[in-house]
Amino acid sequence: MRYLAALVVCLVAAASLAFAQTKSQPSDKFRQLEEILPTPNEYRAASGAPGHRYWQQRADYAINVELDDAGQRIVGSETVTYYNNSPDSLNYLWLQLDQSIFAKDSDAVMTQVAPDLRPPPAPPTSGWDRSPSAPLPQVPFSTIDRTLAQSTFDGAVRVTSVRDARGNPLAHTIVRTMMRVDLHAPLAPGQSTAFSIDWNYNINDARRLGGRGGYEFFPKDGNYIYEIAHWFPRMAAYNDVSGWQHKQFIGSGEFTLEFGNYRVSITAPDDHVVAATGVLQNPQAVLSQPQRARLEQAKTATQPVLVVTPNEARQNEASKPKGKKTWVFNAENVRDFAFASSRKFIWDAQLHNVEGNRVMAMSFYPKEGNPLWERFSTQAIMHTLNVYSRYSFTYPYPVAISVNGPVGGMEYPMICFNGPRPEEDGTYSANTKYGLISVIIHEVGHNFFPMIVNSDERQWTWMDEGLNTFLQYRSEQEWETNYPSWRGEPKEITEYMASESQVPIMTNSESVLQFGNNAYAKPATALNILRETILGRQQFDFAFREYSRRWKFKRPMPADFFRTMEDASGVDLDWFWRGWFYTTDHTDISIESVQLYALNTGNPEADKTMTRKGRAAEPETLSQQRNRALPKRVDQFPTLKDFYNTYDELVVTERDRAEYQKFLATLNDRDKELLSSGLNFYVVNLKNIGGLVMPVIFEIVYADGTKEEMRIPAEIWRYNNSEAAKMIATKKEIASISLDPHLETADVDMSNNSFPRRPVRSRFQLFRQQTTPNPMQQLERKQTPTTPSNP
Amino acid sequence: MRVTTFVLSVAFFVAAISLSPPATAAHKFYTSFAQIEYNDERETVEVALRVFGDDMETVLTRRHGKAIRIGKTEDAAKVIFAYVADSFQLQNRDGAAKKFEWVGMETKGDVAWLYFETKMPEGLTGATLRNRILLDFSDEQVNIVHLRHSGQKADLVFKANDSDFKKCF
Repeated sequence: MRYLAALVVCLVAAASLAFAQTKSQPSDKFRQLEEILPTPNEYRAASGAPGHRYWQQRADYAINVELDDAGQRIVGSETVTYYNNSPDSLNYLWLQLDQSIFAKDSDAVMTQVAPDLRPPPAPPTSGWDRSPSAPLPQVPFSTIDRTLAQSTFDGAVRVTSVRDARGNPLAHTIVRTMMRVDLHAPLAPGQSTAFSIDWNYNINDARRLGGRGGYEFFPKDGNYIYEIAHWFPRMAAYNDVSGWQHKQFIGSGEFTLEFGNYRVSITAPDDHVVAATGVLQNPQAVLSQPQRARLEQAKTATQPVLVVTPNEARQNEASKPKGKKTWVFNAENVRDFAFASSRKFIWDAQLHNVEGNRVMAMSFYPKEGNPLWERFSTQAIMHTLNVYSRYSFTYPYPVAISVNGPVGGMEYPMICFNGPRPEEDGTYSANTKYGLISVIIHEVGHNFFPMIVNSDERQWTWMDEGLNTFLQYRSEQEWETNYPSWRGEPKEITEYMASESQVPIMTNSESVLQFGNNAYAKPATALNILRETILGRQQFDFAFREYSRRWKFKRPMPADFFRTMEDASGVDLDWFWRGWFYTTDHTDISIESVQLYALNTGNPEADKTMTRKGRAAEPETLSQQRNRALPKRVDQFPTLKDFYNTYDELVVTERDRAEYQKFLATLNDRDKELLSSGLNFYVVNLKNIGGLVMPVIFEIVYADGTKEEMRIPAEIWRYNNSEAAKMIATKKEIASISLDPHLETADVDMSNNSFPRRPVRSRFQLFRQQTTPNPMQQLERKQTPTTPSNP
Repeated sequence: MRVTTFVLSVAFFVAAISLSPPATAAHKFYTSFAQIEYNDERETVEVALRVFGDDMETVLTRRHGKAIRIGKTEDAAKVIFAYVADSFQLQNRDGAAKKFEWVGMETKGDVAWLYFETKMPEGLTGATLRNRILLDFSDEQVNIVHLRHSGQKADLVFKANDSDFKKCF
């Protein structure tokens, strides 16, 4: 093989060169994480499991709430029973008023950074948006509209009363999105206390102001869809790691709360249909007889049954309410409660058996959601429950609901809000279809992380979004072959990994840059790599399931996840967590060079022949070539020639042979076999350019056309994080070696992955060279001019 | 207190149009990514630009006062490219504007990849770029550009307040 330099050296001599280095670089990337992780204690064990004295608080709620459809308001009153299971006495309690993010002077509003209002420096190339005379600065429409809406809308929560169990007022202080309630006497460990709160607020227009809940107005029929979340004063979490988790709600760090039981009575106009966390307790009071019969029928159906038909929804849309109805829901062991209400809702349901647990899967959507919603929503719910249960634990709740409204995608226990709809004419693009299925899988999947595995999203977005996006990817791939997932595959993350403006995954939720890539796509991809490349599916699935089960209905922290995955898989993954979660390093491994070493057998016949060959193979220099023809003095005067003019050091002498026989006599049979094996030793020199230590996966192609894959664990970098050499001993001749042949390590630069170097086509060139464009591309190519038209 | 008044233009022609909600999961984020590679053989600058399709649709719909849907609207590619030509601007080392030619587009999930190129025998050395794609859509938009030219690499980042041309190499 002509690409590899053929060197004849003594292997022992080559190895000794390794010791000639100066002091080695410390192997930082393999330092144990215990220097960073919190010290294990009786609450959180070193294995990553809950400790033997693990505790968590509990809060039960009884709530009466009225939805004011005329004024778009929520008016509620609740009784909270709070159980102090901590070893600490509590003088006061903290509650969240997250809806106050819509106060005119909230942190979210006040800390918004201004848009750029400077005029553009260069004249525009076309006059689309700008007046022809002077270039004016531009501002996004959404910014103006939101700013306008924020200045006129007051969405702050008004707390009108806080009383103890006897009805006596309790002192309370509101600190923006948090409220402190001062107790008359400290709440001792093991005790509980009950208190009541009355409150109200104006519901936000989710289309204009955004939000994780809110209303949507339909001008055509004059009706609203309400998606109501973050709507009642909720007990802030109190735990062994952060004490009170009362970090202000600014918008990105969603929430973490305590588990408890809920009984919620929702009063709404009598033509509304209400969907909520939990099980409906009074169907006879709120549903018609035929509707109750259909709901019963859904329990044995093999496809979703319409409980409220499109026709009934249409009639409701046109009706005026004659009064109010109160819908009563019970929910057990949930960390939050949300609901949706509208007279526009169509409702379908199908009872689904998830590993023996009977779950009512239901969807609520306006006619504007069809034909997509009736076809895919409830199916997507059932599919999600199946896949997630298989990889974590059996879905434990009795219902699972997906609602269509103004919120793009947001999760709550047993219920989630999903935005995508078809066009007005009922057609839809593939993007909308797969966007809808994906968002439903994602939001229903959130039931597992963080609604049940109760991680703290106000602190760590990745702990639920990352794990959930990972399982979302796997659910999508089990929906149909080649499902267009855009998060999960290593090759899809390389651009982000190489980008400059990023922070480590282990960054607080509110400070994350490139949110979707950082907290969703990167951890999902990391887990996929951990599963496929580092641990293998069996080991990974066992460990991931163990983590899910250990922390089901409990509150894990990042260290609990890292430790459990190691504890259950039996593999030290500290380097992996360190690289992927604590740094912004990326994978870029390069094959710098390959050298061929042949064995010095000691046999003068073989060695001297090889040396001669090696010398002959060396190129003749330009001067040597030109000097060859010059007349030489020793030829002119042959007496000048002596012994050395004819001596050839590479001719094998009797003495050489005798020495060799003496040498052979000192060897045992095994040594002799090794010497005559005819092995080639290839040394592949690797450089770690991206900084992330990752396994090295070689595809070796031999001169005889056969191939071999060699998978080397990341520990090859443990002595030197930036350079490593691997020796491959083979009798065959190697024609080429390439790195990461199956695109499993997210290597950002494939152009240095082969020896000899192979040109790598850019995305642009791949697109250009596609011989068969897909239908959409054909359409686009046909209709596209070669130059832009300037109107 | 004396306050200087500036005149603002709002980056849309028609009043708000009801739009279908974006298909996102729990959090919306705003990033575009461009790979720019110089092809020595063809002496062209080749661009692959990744954007969120729904954001692009929203901006184009505002621009044109009618619903634009990638993959549905008949002249979507033409409309997209006109917007790209306005927002993604490359100048050579002498400050002369380069005119891009459309190559095509493809979509995956809510992501659209746009491909375009321009002849540039003078190469990218000293060239400048301004990428204001979707900066008129959200003030959180971040545009990342990855450049490769004869073995050299560079990264450029454009945010809401970046309206200047930036040097490529």
